Amino acid sequence: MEENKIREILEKYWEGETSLEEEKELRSYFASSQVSDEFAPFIPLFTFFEQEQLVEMKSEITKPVAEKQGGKVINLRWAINVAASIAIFALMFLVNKQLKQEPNANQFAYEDTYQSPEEALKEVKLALLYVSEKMNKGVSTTAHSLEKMQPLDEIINVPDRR
Amino acid sequence: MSLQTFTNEVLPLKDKLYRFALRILRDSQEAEDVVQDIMIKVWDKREEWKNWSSIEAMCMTMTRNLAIDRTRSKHKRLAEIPEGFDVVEGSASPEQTASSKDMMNYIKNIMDQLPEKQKSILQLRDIEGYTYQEIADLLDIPLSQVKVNVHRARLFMKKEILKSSEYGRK
Repeated sequence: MEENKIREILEKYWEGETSLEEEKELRSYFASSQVSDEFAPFIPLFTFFEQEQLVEMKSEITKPVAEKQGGKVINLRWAINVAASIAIFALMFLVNKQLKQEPNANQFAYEDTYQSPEEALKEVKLALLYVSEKMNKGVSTTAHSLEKMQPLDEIINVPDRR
Repeated sequence: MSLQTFTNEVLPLKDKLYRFALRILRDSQEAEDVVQDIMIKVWDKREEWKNWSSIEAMCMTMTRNLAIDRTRSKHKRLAEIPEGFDVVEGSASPEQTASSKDMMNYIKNIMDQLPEKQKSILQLRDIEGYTYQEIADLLDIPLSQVKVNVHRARLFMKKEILKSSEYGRK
């Protein structure tokens, strides 16, 4: 008897004729353990709808209300990205300068270090990899610390001036 | 007081807005960005709130528009490579799939194939539980359009599910 009723509601459902109530009924029927074989293929569909309702955003809202006196809201993540990019450019500049100077300024050290350019290149790559790894670590640590500071920010920025 | 309205009415919408943006963009990072931007936009428009018939509906509409914008402009690749596309079409039937995560991916992938309008409408109706009238207002389309699209979207889901469950039995 229940199966007949479900069959009926399900038919209406495909047509787009069900009420919100009936759709809720369908979801709870499909969430139960006594779904008839006839409707079994549709279990995932209704389970999916049910589960999707629970999906939450992981990060907090970096509150736009922190914007007081008409100031600009700075997205913290952007600030970190910009800082990291500047750091990378500065590093590239320094490395470049160093490489250009090396042959003239320090002839002996240059000759002594590596046998072949390939070997040197390998070493440079390793060094850069090391630096970038450290830098990523720095970025994530900063992001983490900033997240921790969020509550503080909320306390400071409570009053609404309007 | 606008801060109070914002805290009580707008902030609690964040998960709903996120789910909507995620449905359209299929990328959690992108979707979070959209929600953050919408929060700022809504706050900046606080002078206009009194003219909005529903703050929630307006937030949803703005979220959809921004999400669609983002798919069009810089992230066309999303249209081709959906996130988590690890179930080959027709290979996993509900009877076969062992874990519930696979089952969920299987439905998600079918839903991803819907045109944006049908996908959005199905999201709003079957996941968020909006009435047809609310959806019509939110998408700014006639009620009849909503009904037609719900019908088409559900039929497509049904057809695809039955197709793969038949493959499963063979």
